[in-house]
Amino acid sequence: MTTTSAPSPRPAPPAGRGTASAWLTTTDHKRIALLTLGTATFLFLVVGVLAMIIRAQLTLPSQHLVSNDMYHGLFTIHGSGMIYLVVTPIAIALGVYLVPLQVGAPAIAAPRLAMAGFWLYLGGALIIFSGFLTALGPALAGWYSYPPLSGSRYTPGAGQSLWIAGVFLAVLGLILQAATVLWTALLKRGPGVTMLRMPVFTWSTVATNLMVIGSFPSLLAAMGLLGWGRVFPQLFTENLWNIGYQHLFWFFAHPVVYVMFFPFVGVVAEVLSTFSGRRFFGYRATVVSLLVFAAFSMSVWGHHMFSTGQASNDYYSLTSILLLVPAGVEYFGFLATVIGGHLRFRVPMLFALAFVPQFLVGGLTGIMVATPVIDYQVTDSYFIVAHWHYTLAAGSLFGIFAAFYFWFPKATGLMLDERLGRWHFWLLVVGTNVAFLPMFWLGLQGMPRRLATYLPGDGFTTANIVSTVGTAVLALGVLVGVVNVVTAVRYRRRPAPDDPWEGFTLEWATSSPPPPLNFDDDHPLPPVRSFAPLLDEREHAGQEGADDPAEHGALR
Amino acid sequence: MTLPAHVVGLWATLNVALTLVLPVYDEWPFALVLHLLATGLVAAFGVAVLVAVRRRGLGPQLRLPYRSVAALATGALGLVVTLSVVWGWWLLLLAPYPLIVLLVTLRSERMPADVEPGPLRTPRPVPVDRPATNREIRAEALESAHARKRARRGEAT
Amino acid sequence: MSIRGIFDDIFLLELSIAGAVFVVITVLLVVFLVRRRAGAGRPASSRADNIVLEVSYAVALLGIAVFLVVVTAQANHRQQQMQAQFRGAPDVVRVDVTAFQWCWRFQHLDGPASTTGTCQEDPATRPTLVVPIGRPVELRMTSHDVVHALWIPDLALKSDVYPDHTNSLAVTFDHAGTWLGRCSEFCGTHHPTMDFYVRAVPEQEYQQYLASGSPA
Repeated sequence: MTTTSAPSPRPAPPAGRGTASAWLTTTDHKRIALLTLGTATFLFLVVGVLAMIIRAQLTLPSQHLVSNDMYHGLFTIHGSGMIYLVVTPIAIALGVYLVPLQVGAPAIAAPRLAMAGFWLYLGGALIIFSGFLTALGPALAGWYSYPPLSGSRYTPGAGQSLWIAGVFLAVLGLILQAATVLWTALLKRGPGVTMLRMPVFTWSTVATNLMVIGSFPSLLAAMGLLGWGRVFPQLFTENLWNIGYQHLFWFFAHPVVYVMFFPFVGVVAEVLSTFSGRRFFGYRATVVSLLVFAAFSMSVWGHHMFSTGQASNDYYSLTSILLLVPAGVEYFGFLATVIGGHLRFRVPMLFALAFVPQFLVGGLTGIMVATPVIDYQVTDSYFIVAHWHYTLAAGSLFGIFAAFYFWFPKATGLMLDERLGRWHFWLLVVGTNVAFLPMFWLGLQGMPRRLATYLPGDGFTTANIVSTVGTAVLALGVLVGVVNVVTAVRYRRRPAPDDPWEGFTLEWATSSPPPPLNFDDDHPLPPVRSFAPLLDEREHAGQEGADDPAEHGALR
Repeated sequence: MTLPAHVVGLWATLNVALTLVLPVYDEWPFALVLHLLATGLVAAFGVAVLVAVRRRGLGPQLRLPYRSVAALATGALGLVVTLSVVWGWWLLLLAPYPLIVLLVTLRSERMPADVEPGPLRTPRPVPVDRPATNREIRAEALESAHARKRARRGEAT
Repeated sequence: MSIRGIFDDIFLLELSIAGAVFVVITVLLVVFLVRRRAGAGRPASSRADNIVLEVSYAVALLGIAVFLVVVTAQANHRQQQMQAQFRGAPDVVRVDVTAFQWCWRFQHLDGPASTTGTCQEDPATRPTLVVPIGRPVELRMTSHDVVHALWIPDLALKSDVYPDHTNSLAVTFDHAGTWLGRCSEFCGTHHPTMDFYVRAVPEQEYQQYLASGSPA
């Protein structure tokens, strides 16, 4: 049981923890997460390069750097790669890394299941990219791959089949990881960590992973249907199956948008409160709003189908617009935390601060596209492209980088360079906004999405040039980030202390990087009295000598 | 104690409430069924949480496998099965190998139930240095924790 | 009031609200970034909650949300009613629209006129739908193969076009002119050039077109 007094006979840890085979057969949640996060980060760069080719093609009218079908393959793999293989895995794997630490647990529940999740995800990613090696190229029916277009009649070739198989496998893996994180947060918390003492980030993963469990299986069904339809293409001559697929798909694909958002709300909350030197304001309101937000987001999927003429638009519009209430409550927490803070502008803080107004653009335009009479006009145009790039690139990506700079020292024991980090940040801010703001304009001008090229007379040229320039700046910013990581890891000049940022949550109480079971003799679990245990400790430090040890002796 | 199950349960209930508004808007019944099925999944998860809380209580994971070859085998199996859909059923001939590895390692990788993964220390303040909780207090706390656990299971104390 | 007019109204409304919210939040953020920077020497607040404030704020948000829901649902109903009215009008012009990979076919039900094209980069290969000014036009759209979408950006008119299903859009053209229409749902290799024109002409010219199959 939970005793430490009797040394127990346990198999010696496998010799050579650093070897490849130790990594690949690990049961340590931190390594499982780092494998997943590392794969996703690598794929982020790969899929980002595809976006560069897309932008190069669109810079000037009537360009044909790549053929139409190659262009379609590029945006399909860019979009589906970013969603299925980059941002969603990062959102979930961040929980795999942090949740056991934040709840003071030595391990994740069912680590082999989480590891199986990684392998399935990796397998899915390999299958999707193997489409580039097939005779007819990769999948090219877009990230939502509507039938009948994605059927074998209109998109022959193995690329599309591989894409369906790969998405199925990768998402199956993500479901497994999400379930283990949720199980850990709900049931496997360490001593003293009650539900209402879990940090905001951990709560955000609870909301996230509830959605994963509820909605992701629907995608498995959708991919199954597509796979079936590739064998029997006759299926998709019937409207029933075409519209049925759209329901199955969007039932997954709207919640996934929030799966790619909530964990970063959690990240931004942690980072803002840490660098404001105070508890996150409105903890309980934020927890409730995250859960309500997650529940509502399960019922808004039809707003992707306003223009189908086959959905009850008023219902989906109602639920979508109501989302502004929980979202507004979260924003209130962000702002109020900063307003009463003592602000230190370190790199993670910069990314978290930029997230606030930038995601707001995505959110406010989200209300517009949730309005049927506006959506009829702007759906499937560049307005939508701009909208979700503001949520995913200007929002989630900034959350990812905030998390990256914040927890990189914890995970590796190395500090990143502050100066390069600032360059990374400012280039990314400029690049992101210059790249994506003109797209709103393009959409209102009438540019449909997924356009391999356009004509000089369309009037889209100026905005596209601006957008491409922005993309180049954005790419430069990411490159600076890569240089930052490579130099930090290569030269190892700046070892990280256990708690470089004066953090509040339990992961900062242990070493950097944490020991295999998270807390050990040198880094014991501190007592937990609130969702910011280390801040409590600091505040109590000066006031008293020692409080009643029995209080901490209780195991639960 | 059962708060985790309540969180999942309430969340599922909120989903059902939202689902039940759908017929008012005369939506295609498929949407309703889809939403209810998903809620059913969440509810099933909630029941699993409830059962786990009742059976084993809350607390950190203490029994761990020491390796995860079974996970690798699961991944390989998944890869073979999905690729067989694309490239042909003959690929399934490869499936028995990872399957056998999976079945063998699934049990053999686990540690015996009475072996704990490692030291989980009792709480101690972090920045302020002070003596660790002493042996007596810890033993007392353990005893009371065990008593609670037994009481929950309905065993005699 | 036209369909475009409804879009413009609601878009402007939401744009102003969104703009105001964005400005308020950004200004608040920037002001307190400066006032609360570590160098300013104000200690961090230890307050972690203000339930009354939070609840009243949430209620205010709910008010805004309900307002938006009601206003936009009404606008949507106005739009639907307008279309229903057009469809029911005795002088409605009915056109069957068939989308296919990769162009459009327009078949008038009032006469033998029908038009299609090959939709390549050269605008001359795009079909032109000819309609009369002032009379409601109903487009009944279906697809021959995959999902397409008919979009006339300047008129804020869009609908997906499905195989095995007919969607309908109704609109009135109140002045002469030519509008560009596009396919806005990705439909395969030549999706980017799947454009067409709508040309509104006076009634007389339209009748000539119906009879002869080509605009005067």
